[in-house]
Amino acid sequence: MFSMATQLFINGLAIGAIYAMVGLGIALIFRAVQAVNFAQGEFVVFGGFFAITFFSTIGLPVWLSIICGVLATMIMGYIFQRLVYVPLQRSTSITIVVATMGVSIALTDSSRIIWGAAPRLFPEILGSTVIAIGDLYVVPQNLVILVAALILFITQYILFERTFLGMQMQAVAQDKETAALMGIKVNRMIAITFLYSSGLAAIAGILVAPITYIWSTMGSGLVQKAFVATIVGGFGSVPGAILGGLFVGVVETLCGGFISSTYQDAFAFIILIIVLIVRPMGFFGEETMDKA
Amino acid sequence: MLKLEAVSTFYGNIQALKKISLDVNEGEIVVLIGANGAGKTTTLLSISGLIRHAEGSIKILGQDISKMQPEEIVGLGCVHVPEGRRTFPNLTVEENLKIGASVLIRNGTHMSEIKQDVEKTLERFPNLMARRKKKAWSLSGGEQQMLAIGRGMMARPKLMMLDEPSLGLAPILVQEVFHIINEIRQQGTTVLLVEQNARAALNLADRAYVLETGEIVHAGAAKEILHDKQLIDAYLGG
Repeated sequence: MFSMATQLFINGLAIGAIYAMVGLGIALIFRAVQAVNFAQGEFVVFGGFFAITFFSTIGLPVWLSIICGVLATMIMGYIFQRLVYVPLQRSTSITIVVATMGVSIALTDSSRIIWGAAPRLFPEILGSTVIAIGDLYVVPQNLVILVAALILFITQYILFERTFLGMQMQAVAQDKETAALMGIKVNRMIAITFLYSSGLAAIAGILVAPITYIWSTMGSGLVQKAFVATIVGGFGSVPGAILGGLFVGVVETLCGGFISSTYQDAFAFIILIIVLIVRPMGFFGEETMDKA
Repeated sequence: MLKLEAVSTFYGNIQALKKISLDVNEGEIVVLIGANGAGKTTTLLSISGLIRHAEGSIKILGQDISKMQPEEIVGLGCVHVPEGRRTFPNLTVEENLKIGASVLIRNGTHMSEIKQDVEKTLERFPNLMARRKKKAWSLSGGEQQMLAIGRGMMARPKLMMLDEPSLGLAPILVQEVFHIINEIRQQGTTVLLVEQNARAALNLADRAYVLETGEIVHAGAAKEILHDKQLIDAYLGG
């Protein structure tokens, strides 16, 4: 019983780290442009497919395929920003949100046309031999996910909280007009946010591919979970997106293991409903910070 | 330093500025006065590039800024301290000041120099020094205003535009703000000031323009306008 719980906990943390990466991308873009990017899940799919193509079709080594896959997705994120966000930046948030939904559908079908409807596999980075630690059996890819997530989140913390670039990005997130008056290149900061967020999504796709496979329509399901994670954590909060993701991953995996695996996907939404009733602003939700 | 010729600015179909011409010479304090909605803030927004003017020309140090982005206009040495302070609420006092120097950092000024500027600015504002690690949202209104002015000074401006810096402040702080503006001028920065507190502003300024519904209805030496009872009664509500 105990070892099963521990095992499920580790699996849950790994899938939660994936939700956290996707949710973080959603939260960062939301902070920068006050709109939810519903196409974030498709960047996960494209990131996974790009890496698979570089590896299986072109024949690059695994590490190079990962790097090229992430870079290709970041370029896609930049183009997405130029073609979708920039022309609409003076419209209301809801216009931008609907546009991202449209792009999401278009990208889902494009990926089906390019790579077909069948799920595709990317190799496990540390192989597939299950590691036994006492009673625990750990899939090596889960460890890869957790270590990669830890490195990413620490790097991001340093980048955002300890560098001048990060400070400027925060200023843009808080007040774009005043940021421009300070001489900050607002559009460049927003472009960097999109680049970074699409890179995060690609890494999530490449990391999760060996466990769940990658298929063209998986993006919307992933975005829903990531969205739940960001709301549970406190919408627009960076630590909230990370902890919300881990929390949702762990709880749904534990409930799936002990209660019903058929309803595993439903548990994320039950968590969402409970959190919205008990603490609507989420774990890290900011009460209004402005002084009159 | 600054020259506006026949500048018109629109919000949709509404014309907020009607062929405004004004100039500010180096070393001056010039004040724009007038009632609410007269176009004072719009004038500043047009100069700093946050609103694009439709007609006329705006020149800063001889350079036409009509096609320039706000961040490029700051690069010319023209800093706009906006109405309502607009400090970055979730950045600390120190970070707000550093952000004020964004344009210098972009042009290659070393961070160590910026840090020295931060120290100098904090020494000038003892209240901010005591709260340097606090987030800006936790400051009082007066402290936020000082921070907004200090942040503007961090860009080492040649021309500083201040929009209603005394708004909503206690009388003693209003005095302090005007004192600081005078100091800024003495350090060699030209000042364009927008104020509803007309008497205090006119006492400080060299010259003034009076705006009414988007037009300049009077221009002249500040002292002259201050003693023109008719003008004061007509446009400045006594």
